[in-house]
Amino acid sequence: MGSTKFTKVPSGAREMALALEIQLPVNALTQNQPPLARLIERAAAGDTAAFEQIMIHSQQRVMAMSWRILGNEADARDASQEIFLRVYRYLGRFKQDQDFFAWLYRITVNVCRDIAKKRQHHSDHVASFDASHDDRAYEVAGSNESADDALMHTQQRELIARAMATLPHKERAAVVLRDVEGLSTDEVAKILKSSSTTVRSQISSARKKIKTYCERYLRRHAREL
Amino acid sequence: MNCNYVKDLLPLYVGRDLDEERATAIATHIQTCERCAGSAEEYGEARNLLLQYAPPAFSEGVYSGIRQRVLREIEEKQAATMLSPFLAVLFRPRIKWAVATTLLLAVSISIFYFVANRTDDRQQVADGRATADRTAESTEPIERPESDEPKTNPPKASTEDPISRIKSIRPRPRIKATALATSVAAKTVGPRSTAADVSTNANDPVDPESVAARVPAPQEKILRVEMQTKDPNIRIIWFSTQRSKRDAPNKSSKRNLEVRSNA
Repeated sequence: MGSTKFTKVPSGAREMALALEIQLPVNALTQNQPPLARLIERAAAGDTAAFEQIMIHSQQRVMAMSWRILGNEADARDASQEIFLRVYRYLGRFKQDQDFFAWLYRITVNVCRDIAKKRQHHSDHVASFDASHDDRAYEVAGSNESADDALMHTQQRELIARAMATLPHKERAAVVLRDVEGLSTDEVAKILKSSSTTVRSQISSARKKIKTYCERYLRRHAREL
Repeated sequence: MNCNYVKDLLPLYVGRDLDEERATAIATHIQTCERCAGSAEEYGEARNLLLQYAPPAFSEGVYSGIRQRVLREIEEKQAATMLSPFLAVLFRPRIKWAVATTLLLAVSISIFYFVANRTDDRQQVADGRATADRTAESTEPIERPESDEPKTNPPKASTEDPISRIKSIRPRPRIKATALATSVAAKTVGPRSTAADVSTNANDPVDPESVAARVPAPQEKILRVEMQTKDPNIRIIWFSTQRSKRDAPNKSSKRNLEVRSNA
């Protein structure tokens, strides 16, 4: 996400504005690219080039969230493809005063739920969280950590992946949106089309289960050692 | 605030999802309760792990593959829509029902028309047969010609319109069919006609078609028969009036026989 950083604090407001440095996220639009609202308008009119720009702008978020909910790369790729197809199909219904990414998250949650249901019909497992078997699961972008740290992070990621696999879809989506994506409880409630009370209850339940799973896992490993 | 109540609120406390009043109360409690403090710490560690739960670094190839598949599917759907806009319009719900109803009506009318025509045709054929039967029943049996030809059933005949007979005469290929001429001529001429009367010479070829064309209409009183012999200049015209069955056919036929020659 973007953050603001002051390099200097001059006395006047004008100097303050000149000294302001805004650090943009990786996928942020530069000054040369048209704003998102204009891209959405053109894509809704049928401009596929504009829609491709929208995909480039949001593909990392969509892929990351799909991966966190579904737990493996293959399902996350299928989900991302279906998400963007639905976005294109329903772009005409999107109102400019809406939050685009909240709308995108809602589509993501729905698609991930449909894929998880389809998977459940073919398998008895709640979710095939194979983060530990993912070939690139342990590649962290721009990481300069030591081998021990990398191993520790790998084990932690695997632990959380297993804990998430025990959660039902709604609790998993709620905790990912709240804790990982950093959205407020009210925003999560809007995306999930639930009340804030229900979302808090789901988040609370999800956190308890994750904590309990981690405790048991660590106790079991401590006994083994 | 007791430990059971705090234990239920700790998951929301660590995520800062509680209102300020309850958050302050819990913070105060865990400062004095080691057990609740330990639970809060465990919740904090689990949440930190969750915050670090990051996906792997997907390559640009993965993202571009997703984009290409999406764009390809969009293009295919757009092409399908452009190729059949008319069909797409036809298959809208209301128009679909209207088209289906129209087709059903057209098929029903066609079937009704076809069946009705076939019924009329059959009726006409049946009427024609009945008329022929009635005509045959109303005529007298005809005498056999003086020849060695085998006797056949006496043919039936009735009167006919003389004018239509003349008009129906057409030049036809001449064939020797004296027996045929006997039966066919008997159909077209009156009750006293014979093959000898019809032809000056039984061996002369007579056009059976010209004779057959002259089917006498029912309820005619004057019968006229015209026959073209082999010689184009000689034509035989025979007149007959309708008489009772008791009269001998030979006497009247000889009186009304006329032979015309263009020589």
